[in-house]
Amino acid sequence: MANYVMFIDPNKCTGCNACRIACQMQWNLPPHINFNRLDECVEGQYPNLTRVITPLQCQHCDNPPCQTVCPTNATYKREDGIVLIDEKKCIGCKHCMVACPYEARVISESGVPEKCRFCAEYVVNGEIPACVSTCMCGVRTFGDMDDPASPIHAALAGQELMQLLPGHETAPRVLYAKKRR
Amino acid sequence: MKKNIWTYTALVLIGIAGLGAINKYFISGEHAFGVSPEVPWGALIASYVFFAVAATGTGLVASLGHVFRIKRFEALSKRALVASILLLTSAFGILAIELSNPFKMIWIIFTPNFSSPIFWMGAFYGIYLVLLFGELFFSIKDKHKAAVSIAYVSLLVKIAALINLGRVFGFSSTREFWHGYYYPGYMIVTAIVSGAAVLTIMVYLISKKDASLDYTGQPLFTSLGKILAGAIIFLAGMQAFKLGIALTSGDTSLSGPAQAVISGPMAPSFWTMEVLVGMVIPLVILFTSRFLSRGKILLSAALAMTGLLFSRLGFVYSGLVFPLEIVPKGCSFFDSLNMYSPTWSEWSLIFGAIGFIYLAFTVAEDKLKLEVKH
Repeated sequence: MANYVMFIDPNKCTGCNACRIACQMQWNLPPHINFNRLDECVEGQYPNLTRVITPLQCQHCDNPPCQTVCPTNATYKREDGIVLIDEKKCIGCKHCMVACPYEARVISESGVPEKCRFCAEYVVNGEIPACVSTCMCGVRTFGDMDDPASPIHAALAGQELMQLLPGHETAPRVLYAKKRR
Repeated sequence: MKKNIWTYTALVLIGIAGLGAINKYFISGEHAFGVSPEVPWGALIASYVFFAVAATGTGLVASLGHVFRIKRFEALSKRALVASILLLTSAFGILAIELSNPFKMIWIIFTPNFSSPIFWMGAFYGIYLVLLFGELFFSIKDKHKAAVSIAYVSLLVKIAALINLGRVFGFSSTREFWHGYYYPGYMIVTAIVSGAAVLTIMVYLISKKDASLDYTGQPLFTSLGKILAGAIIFLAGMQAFKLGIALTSGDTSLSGPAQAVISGPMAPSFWTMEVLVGMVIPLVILFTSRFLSRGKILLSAALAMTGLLFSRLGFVYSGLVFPLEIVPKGCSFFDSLNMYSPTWSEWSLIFGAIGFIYLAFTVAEDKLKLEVKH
């Protein structure tokens, strides 16, 4: 069984939004629905300002709060680590949206709180997610931690890593490179 | 059944609510409501809580008759059960329209998630509704032993349902302002406020028709007025404590929402409707009238319910108003709050539910034998 992880180096991100658009095209999403987004802000005091961009999406937590609160078990976690939604079971209560500390979910046209799927149907065939393949700067790397040949190992080597909101103990599967100022 | 201006008003409100529901299901979808990914729960979740807690509170206060054998409350028993059923049915109706896919609720039976507070909410309130129908059936058939037995079980289910409803909000650590044990207690206290208020309004509406209420009417009004006043004072103390703790916590995820409530976008609704209309004016009226004037107790009850509706709106919005700090940083991210305001569709469903409750109660009063025999 695979053990999927994504690595994101925000220091390389130019803010072009190609990842968001590639994902929308991959999943045929309307313009107002996106499974990943860029959090942008400006840090520091004038004139020493830094534009900080952080790509955000579902973190595919090992301890997902969205799964804990789902009354019908519509949200479930696969053995390979991917958190998915079974649309036929989702009642649309949106408790998962309230419980997710990453604001990863958006309500779809069919009333299902959707989110990034790690391109589950594609990665099992050895393909990589659309947001990863489209990025011109190699911000994102996706791979199977249990596969020694996976590019994820090279990407993670020597990196100082961080997870978002470690205090929530969600154990995310999206790892970030620490930001360089 | 005699028709009057309120009958036609109720029918109009139900009709407009129907348009609101059509807008949600056939025209606008989720866009019919003012919710967003940042504020996924809005006025319909708030009004679900309003009606469901009022249903439980009505049963809770009315149980003073069936369960605790206080004579003057026994006159309320059957009508309180009818009111509870109608309030709970309205709550479920609103929730069904809020939910994107209510018919998929069947999966709660096939693949239940026992760690989910919403699963338990469905379980407790579902059982409560069945118990209400059972208690009403046996009460109408004058099988008091069976009715009282159900009332005892129902009391436990009511309390469990209220505590669990607080858990729906307090369960997740993601929304710091809701997180913890405050809201289960808040649900119980507000249930007593709404229960006393609903029963006051109900007794006033039927007191002219039912001779038994002429006999017990005044002591009953005074008792309900005192319960209402006591619960409002307790609620005001709890809310002041909650906001005070949040404001002085030094944690922006707590103080931010509290600031939004007292001086931010929620302040006009909080100070005018929740505090003034829902608490201060009812208390002034009740204490100056010394709990003796039926009309003034009725007015206090109506104002308390109005204030409580806005309190529910504020309670739901306050947990979502402050942006989540997903990325640790020192930028000006928190300058903006998550904005939300209810749409006409949401308001139409709330007022439609009120119309439905009034209309259905008058029909039940007309068709069922709800008088208490002496």
